[in-house]
Amino acid sequence: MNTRTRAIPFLFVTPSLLVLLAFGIYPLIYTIRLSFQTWLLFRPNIPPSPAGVANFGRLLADSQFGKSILTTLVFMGITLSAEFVLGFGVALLLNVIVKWRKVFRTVAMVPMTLSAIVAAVIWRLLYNPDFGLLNYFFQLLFGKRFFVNWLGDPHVALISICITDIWQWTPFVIVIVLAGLQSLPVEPYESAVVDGASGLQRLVYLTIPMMRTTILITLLLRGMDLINEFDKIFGMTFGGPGYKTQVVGLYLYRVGFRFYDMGYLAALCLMVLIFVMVITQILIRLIRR
Amino acid sequence: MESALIYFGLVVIAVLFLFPVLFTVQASFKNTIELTTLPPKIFFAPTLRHYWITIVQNATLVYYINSLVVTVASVIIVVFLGSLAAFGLAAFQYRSRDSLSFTILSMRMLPRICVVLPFFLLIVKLGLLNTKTALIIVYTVFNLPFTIYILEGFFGEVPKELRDAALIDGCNYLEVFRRVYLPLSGPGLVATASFCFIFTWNEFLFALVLTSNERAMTAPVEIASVVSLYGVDWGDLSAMATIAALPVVLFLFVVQRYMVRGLTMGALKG
Repeated sequence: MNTRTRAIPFLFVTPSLLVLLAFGIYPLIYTIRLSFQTWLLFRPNIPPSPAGVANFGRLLADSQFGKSILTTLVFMGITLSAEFVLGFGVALLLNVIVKWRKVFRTVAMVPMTLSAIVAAVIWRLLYNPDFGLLNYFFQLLFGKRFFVNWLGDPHVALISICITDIWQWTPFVIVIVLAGLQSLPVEPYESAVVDGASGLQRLVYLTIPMMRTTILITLLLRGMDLINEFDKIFGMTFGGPGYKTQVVGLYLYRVGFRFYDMGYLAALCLMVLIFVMVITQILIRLIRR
Repeated sequence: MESALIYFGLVVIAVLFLFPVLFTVQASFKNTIELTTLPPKIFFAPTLRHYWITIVQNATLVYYINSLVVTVASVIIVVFLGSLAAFGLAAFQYRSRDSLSFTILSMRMLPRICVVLPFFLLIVKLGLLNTKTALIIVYTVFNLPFTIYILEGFFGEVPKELRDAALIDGCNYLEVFRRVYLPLSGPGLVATASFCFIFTWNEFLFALVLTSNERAMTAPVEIASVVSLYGVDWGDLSAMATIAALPVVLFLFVVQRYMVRGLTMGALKG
């Protein structure tokens, strides 16, 4: 193969690569530089000034930042587990039935196609403590004394947001797991039945091990999206009540676009970036095994 | 008997998924007074007042048009660039291929929040703040890794023999791309375009940060700004949400088969 032929695949890839590098690498370098400076955007006359590692020191002592990480992890934990268990369960059910499978799948995918802001609007209406359907429905069941301020009660707010996300994204898990289930070979199940294995045993010892890669990838994809969660919380509580639903994304947004503390934001972004990349690498190693 | 139970359970679940959406659509046709009192009326006289206020009085169509322009433009560019790159990755064998593919994919893993700041500063530096061009660029950059990843999977399914046959017949690589890979990957292109369309149409954070008025602001940002106000009219809000959701839901019904293939292609390929 001569040099010209070997260069051809790169010719196809280069335009995309250039775009990604130009708008990916350059901003990254700029951010690294900015994280060592102090730059308050609400004083436009004062240019960025060097600050050494002050931003990073501040970051380590920042309790709001630490709390936002905790909130994010709690949010991810609850939502991911629920989405996975429910999604896997529904996919198992769908795998069994014969008719209407595609219809159901399409219907279930509707929440996924909505903007997070639209989902936020929909659920704010349902969560409304005075005329929302959720309180009305539970009052029918449990009597007039039932009253929950879904988005305003500090103890409940995060769960409410989890519910909205579960509603919106469980179909994602359903679709992928269903496709995985349908591509499984039949013979192991036939021998298992002959050997007298129960449904539960077939599930635990056959289905789950064979679906290992699919499961891990689903968790990875949803996990990444959940770390990024911002739109829904912005639209529903904006971190309230009292910072109880402030995930990392929201805190970073406030630092940059409410306090306009750009240098500090840059430092925060870098920390989160490194953190996410480490986790991603670990998860990918797990999958590749 | 057992399957009847399963069907019943699935119907319940389907209702749970659909109900909130249908409720909001119904709410957009209800009088505000009927909307904010309990018990909720199932039968009511529908009104178009909220749509009138939204479209005519508040002139919000411009935001939806912005969304449409930005979405269509970026989807076209992304599918164009992405398919070329995916072809470069799928149709050839060379040493750096896997690491190149992986590098591109890992760019998708970057949390959006962390990328907002540098993008914001870059756009300001380019003087493109509050323009549709800035949004198109940003969405192209964001959809590229995912697009390349999915299309690479679809292109990988094209038998190498077809490529070789075309080469022997005297095609150059561009023609191989155009005449062999593209036609055979129709479903993949539809799937990818669908995802990019939905993601871009619904995108919020970057539109929020990079735009400030109707010159470039997209629908989700406008809806969110209304939500933040105290004393919001839920009927108007429901109407805005319905208009925003309508294109993508209709879109879903048309292309859902391809979308499922695209989703599973990305996940099952591993």
